[in-house]
Amino acid sequence: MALPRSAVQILIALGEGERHGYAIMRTVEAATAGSVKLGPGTLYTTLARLEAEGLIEESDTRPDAAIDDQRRRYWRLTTSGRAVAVEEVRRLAAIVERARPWALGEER
Amino acid sequence: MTRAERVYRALLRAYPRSTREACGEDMVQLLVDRLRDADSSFAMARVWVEAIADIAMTAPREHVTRRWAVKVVEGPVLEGHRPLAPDVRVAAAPLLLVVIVALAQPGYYEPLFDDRMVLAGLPFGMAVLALAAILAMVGILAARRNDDLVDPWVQVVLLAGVLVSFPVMRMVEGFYTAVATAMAMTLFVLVTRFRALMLALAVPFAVWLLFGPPIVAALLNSVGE
Repeated sequence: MALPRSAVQILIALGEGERHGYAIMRTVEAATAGSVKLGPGTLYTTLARLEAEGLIEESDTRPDAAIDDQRRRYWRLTTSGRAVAVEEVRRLAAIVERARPWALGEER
Repeated sequence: MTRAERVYRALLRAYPRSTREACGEDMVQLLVDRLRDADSSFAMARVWVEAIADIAMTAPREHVTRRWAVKVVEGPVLEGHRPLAPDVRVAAAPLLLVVIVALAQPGYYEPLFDDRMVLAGLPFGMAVLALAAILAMVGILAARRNDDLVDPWVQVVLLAGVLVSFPVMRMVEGFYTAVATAMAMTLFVLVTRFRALMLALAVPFAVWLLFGPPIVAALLNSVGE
């Protein structure tokens, strides 16, 4: 399955646990040292698409009203979403592994 | 509601209605969160620039995807995949009328191209365009209620494109205004398949094509006397 970069980033962010939209955005931003910033449109249209494809689902979790806005929707990976995320991570890891010797000067 | 929220909600109108309904509130919430966490005016400005750029990049994609998704997901029985033939017939009716009348009675439309019309301050071409624009707005308002096939704001842009193409077509030597207008209408309706506008425009335009020339001829005669 060919996924856009934003979708892969979201799946990987959700692999660490369920999150609301803003937390996903911040996780992706931190993981990429600020090089990938998901705007509201990109984030939520991608979330809608991933949900339609059965890769993520809305969680029933609602935070305590005292610490967070209860209108926030939390998202988590489905079983197939986790499998796709793992497959993407493996694919990316294989690319990095192949490039290590010449790009980073590291021995295999 | 803060002013930032109001402005952002207005910008979200660039998205199709279905997208706004599905995730508009979440998008507003995210922008509010980001603005709240911005620690300087510069950071707030950056949030706005990124949000606007994000809309500019994702809204067109959503329009295209929505059109495709309606056809695929909802199937052929719904409006998203309605038969093309009836739309083509209605859209092409004014153009067909021009051809039939011109063949049956050559010169019938000549009064429309009399220079005295302009000298007498009777720019009928512009009047027709103004009428078309008014009817288009009526159609757009109707489509907003009925959620027509293509988002109304896309239709506004397409209509503007058609209106701009009109004077370009008129520059072609010997290209009749009536034919150019009918072609523009047909093109617009076929591109958008905008049912409300189609009906709003086709009937009055056909009436004008049939009864416009004798009316203009009578007006020119009265000006000439």
